[in-house]
Amino acid sequence: MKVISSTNDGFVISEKDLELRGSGEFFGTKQHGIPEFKIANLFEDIGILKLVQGLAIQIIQKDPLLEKRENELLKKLVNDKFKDRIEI
Amino acid sequence: MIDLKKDIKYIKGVGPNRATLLNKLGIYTLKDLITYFPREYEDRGNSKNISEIEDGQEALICAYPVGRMNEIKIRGNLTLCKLVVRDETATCQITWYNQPYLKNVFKQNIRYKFYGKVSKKYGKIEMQSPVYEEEQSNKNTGKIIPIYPLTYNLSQNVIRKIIENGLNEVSGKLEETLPKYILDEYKLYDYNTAIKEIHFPNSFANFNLAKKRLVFEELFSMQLALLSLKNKYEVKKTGIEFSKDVKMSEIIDTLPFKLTKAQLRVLEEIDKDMEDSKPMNRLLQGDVGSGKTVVALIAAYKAVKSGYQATIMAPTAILASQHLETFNDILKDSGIRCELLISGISKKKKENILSRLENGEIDILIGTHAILEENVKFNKLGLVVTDEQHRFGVRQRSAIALKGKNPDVLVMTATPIPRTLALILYGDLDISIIDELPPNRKKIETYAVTKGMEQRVNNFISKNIEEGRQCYVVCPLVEENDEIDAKSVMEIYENYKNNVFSNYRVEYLHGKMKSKEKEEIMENFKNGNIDILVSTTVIEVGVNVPNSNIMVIENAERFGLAQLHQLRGRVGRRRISIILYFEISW
Repeated sequence: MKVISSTNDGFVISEKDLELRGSGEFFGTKQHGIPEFKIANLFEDIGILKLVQGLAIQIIQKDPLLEKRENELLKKLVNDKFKDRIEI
Repeated sequence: MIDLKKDIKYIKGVGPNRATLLNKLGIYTLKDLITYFPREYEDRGNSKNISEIEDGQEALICAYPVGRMNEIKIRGNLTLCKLVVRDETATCQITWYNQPYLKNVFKQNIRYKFYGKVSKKYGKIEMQSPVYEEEQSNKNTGKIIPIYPLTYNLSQNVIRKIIENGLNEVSGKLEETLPKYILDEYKLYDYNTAIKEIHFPNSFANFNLAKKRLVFEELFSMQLALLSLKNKYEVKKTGIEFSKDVKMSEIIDTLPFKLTKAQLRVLEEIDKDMEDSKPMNRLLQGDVGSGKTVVALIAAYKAVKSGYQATIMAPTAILASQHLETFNDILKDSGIRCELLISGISKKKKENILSRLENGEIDILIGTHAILEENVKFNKLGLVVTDEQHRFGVRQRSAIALKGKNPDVLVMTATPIPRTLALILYGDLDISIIDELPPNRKKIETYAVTKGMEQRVNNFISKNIEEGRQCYVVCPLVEENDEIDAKSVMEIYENYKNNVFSNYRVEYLHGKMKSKEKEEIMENFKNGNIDILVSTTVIEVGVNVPNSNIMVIENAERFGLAQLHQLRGRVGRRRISIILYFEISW
């Protein structure tokens, strides 16, 4: 409560909020519209998040449409999970 | 191959009744079942001596019953079963409630394992309602046991058994979801092992590896999806190059107020995007009241003066009408024609708007989801602004963008998220941030108070209403709920209306009401026909009720910080100093 009565800066508050509650609740509330994670926690798992971001960039640069045979599974993974929301 | 889409009711141990309960948890298929991950784990692997256990701990003990089970009837319907057990170090009294069938279960010459919460008072050790089994058995103890989240009427034992049955069906047969080169490089568990070990880990080390693999997969697929999206928008399309001769400063100079440095910086970014041939796909983040609407207006001005149409999509009719007022006010001398399209308008009016829109006689169309309808056709759509768009509402975004030829898109949100995360999560959008509030805004006064201050708070509310102000009251619940100890809208409403504020106009608002009813109430509140509005958090972001200057939040501890911040943004956005109350039961 100290945080909320002492600042009006939404960014400061959101940092603190994330820290206090973890991303499950933070993003679970639909306000962000980010899909709810079944197991990941953006705060605890920030290390893995950075790792996979780097990896994803590498892969998409070389194979933007995930058409290479070695990436067949990845295309399926993305389509299975996000087909209602996006199409690749 | 196994059928992961198999209906849950055909899984061993489920059947129609339990299927309904599982559906409530969002479990419909075999796949849902095996990916319903535990919330936590209990280490029922290592037993402890009774004498070593500390008060309040959950522990596994291994002990012989001493004497017979003692059955005590308290009141008509409550039975206590008490059993004393001992190991080499001490004795412990175990209590179960209403489980008379336990009476003949335990035999004195057999050792049992008990797992439960222990209390230790004045040297007396007690355990309440433990799980138990014979020493040799390893069904409920002797290993790491998963605890599942929210199971309603399903006991942990039942859901554990069902998940075990589900896992048996798929055991070793799940298709791998990640390419081998990735599994090898990052030393990840294969999918089968990960799924098995996340539910029933053989050790905590295995659990960690299983979790790492599944987290990796979840975040990785999200990143791939986001990047593919960004690629899709950026690479393939050529968008509109808006005229370099139309200067944003033309309209900025006519504004009755000065823009903040942050607004100017953001506008520069948008200006650059608009003049570029690549379609703009930009997220504009800024706190409630930081002036995002005027930024959208200036961008729309540039689009229109370059010969295109612009559209602004708001999440509610009230917000849309509010935007229209602002636009008409600022653009009144510019010759730009703005129109409002929401679902409530008459058929005749709508047809008129649609035909003028198609003929290019409307420059800026402001509205709600109604804009997405198929019969809404633009003449030359160049800029799409969506307000408070939900992340991943990508389909909607593209639905509206398809009404033009690769128009520029600006997505606005008032929910700030930390910068570090924004960059990662909003991979498909460029990001602009307004991190400064207009200087004339007063700081929102926020006080945290307890129920003990209720009288003072109420006096304060009365005083303000007498001065012609209005008040919001926000509660966590709609109706009273026995399980959750928190204030409900209906409870507060009844109390205010009938007792505390019976001489004022009190109304209520919550998400279960019809949208027409809701809009009516909001309209009445906006027009000053309601003094006190009791509501859940449905009060929409950005709704501008300048006359309201108090917000009371009941059980503030139940809301997250970001949510509280959003809520307080709704109380009067200009003119009046703002005072905000928290009522917290500590």
